[in-house]
Amino acid sequence: MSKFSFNSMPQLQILTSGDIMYIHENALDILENTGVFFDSEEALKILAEAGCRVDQEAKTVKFPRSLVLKSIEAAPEKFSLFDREGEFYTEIGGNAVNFDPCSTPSNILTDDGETVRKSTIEDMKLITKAVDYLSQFDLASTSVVCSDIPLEMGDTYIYYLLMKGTKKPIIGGAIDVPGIRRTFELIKAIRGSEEAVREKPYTIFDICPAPPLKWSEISSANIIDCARFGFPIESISLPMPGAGSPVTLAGSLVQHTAETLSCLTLAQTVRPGLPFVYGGAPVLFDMKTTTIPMSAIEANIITCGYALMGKYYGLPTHSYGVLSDSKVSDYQAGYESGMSGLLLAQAGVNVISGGGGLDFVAEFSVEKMVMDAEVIGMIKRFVRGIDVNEETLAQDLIHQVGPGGDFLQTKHTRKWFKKEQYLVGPVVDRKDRATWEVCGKVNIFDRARQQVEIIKQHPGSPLDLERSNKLDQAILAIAKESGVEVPLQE
Amino acid sequence: MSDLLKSIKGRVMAGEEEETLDLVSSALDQGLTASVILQEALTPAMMELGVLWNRGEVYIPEIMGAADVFQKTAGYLEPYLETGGAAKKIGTVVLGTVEGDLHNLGKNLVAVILRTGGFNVIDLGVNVPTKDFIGAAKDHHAQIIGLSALLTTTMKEQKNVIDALLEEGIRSQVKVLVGGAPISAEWAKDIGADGYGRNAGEALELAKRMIND
Repeated sequence: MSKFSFNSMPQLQILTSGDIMYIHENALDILENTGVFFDSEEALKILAEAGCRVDQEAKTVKFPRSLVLKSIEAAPEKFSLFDREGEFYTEIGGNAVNFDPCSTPSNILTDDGETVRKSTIEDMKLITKAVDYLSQFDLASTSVVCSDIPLEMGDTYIYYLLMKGTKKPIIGGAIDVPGIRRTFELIKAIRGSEEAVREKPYTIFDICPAPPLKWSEISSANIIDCARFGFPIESISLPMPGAGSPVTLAGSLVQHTAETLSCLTLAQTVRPGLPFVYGGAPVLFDMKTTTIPMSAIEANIITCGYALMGKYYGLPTHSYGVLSDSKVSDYQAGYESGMSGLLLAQAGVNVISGGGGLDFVAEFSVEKMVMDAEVIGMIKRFVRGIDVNEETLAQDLIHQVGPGGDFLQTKHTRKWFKKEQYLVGPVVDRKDRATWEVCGKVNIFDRARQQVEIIKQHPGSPLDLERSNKLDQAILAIAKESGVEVPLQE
Repeated sequence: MSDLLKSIKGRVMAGEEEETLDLVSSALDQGLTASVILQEALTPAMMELGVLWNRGEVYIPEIMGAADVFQKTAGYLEPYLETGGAAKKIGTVVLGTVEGDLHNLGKNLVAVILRTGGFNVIDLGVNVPTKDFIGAAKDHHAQIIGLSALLTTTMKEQKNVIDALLEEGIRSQVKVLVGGAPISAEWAKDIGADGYGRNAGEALELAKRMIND
């Protein structure tokens, strides 16, 4: 995506170019005249030096539009992510869609499909195996809080577990101030040097404002630290129509744009050129229950809208999809996961987080993650669209086979069927009824549970002994600094 | 198993016709007999595919491709086989889609799987009148007649064939197997058929059982 451009590829376009300009202008106006709150002296200082009007007492920053525009220009259109081994893994940007599991749940749905309990190290280890095993998931994430790890460790121990078990790059976050530096130290332990960590981004950090128009002390520090350590940032503005943002979707989009650009501007001021993902986590404020469903259709509409804003700014985009607010893996979980994922992918959102997630991201189900992998496989197939060329049009073949013929026995079918079709796994039922009955009428949750048993046997991608030892030393040093003890993993 | 036989088996499973035939011809040059090639490379290839198929690890086009190579290679080996050797078929099946029905996909699939399983298959095609089934069964001394029907409007033709066999007084000489999307085990029982297969794999198992009975 080049800067300040409109997309000409076939894609879900729910805003006109005029709408995009309107939202853009209004967001710049909010940034310039309303301002954004930063609960951080350091952030206020950095932005004041960059030419913003800062009210130290009210801790608000008013951004000159020239600085915002310069920051948009400075951020890269796309960037490379590298795996644990330092090999190029994927590019974040353009129209490529990547999926990673849900992050932040502190509860796990147990394999009876109904009961929840606090998530633990063992759950996170199983999720690590699952993300390593399921090829549909492109990226790993700090999926569940480990209740058996002291709070002082923040999310750092989850990084440790992931780095021990999979090569896939990690989407993570920090829930405290030292989290960014600590993660840097962990990665340095396996990469060897600070330069190696900076040169080849291996993780992206999610950082959330508090709506409306506020960045907490921790979030402000995280933005500055990520920029200093060279970690790509995914900003997670959270419009909440009717409560935390205007009830109108357009007004919520303006607020999302302003919040996201304020984060972008701080990050680019600290380090021009820092990879930045234009992300978000829209929710609805439900007027009956006062809960905040993330899988309401309105939340998906807002994402499809801000994805266009991100693309207009020539930035990679992110949102939450393939998750559900249902408490169990039922019909609602299926439709919310499928609809959100397909909509977001069609809008060209580059990072879609959420597989395995239930109950307003409070709950994680490994069985659902396995089912979601199939949803993701189908979405990726849809996004690939229809390949039209001489061979796929099969003109000669249709001629040869002729009326009443049979394509099943042709070489063309053999050559193309795996490319043209997404071949579903055993979680998806496509048996005829008679066969389904003979096979025991197994429902989808039980089919997923069978897959989880296979995943439990998966060895994952363990670290070699040398780097594993170095990583152990790094996590022990961090635990010592925090004044707590943590178990080492193989 | 020699490396060469292993390679032949691998090429059959991959559906690579030319490479298989090349390897088979060098195997013959090296003094391996046709029946050894058939029994230790070609047949095991199809059996292993059958196992993989049951585990859901291979797909129909791959089975069809391998079956095609198997047929062609077995045909190529035919002249080299000692008389009455491994080429002996386990039985003859007259197969077709019933009158008024033009669907051939399922029927073709069954034909390929039966042939690969060692049956001599007389494929009468689609829209086959009852008298043609009877005639072919008599001419070829078939042990089995396979009737495919894909429409609820044509499934009654399966019954017509069975009735005609009764009228001719030859019902006891031949087993009748039925299949097709609207067909069920209940239907098969109602019309007096000897068996119903839900898919090509079941058709083969059923046909083998009929011969052994």
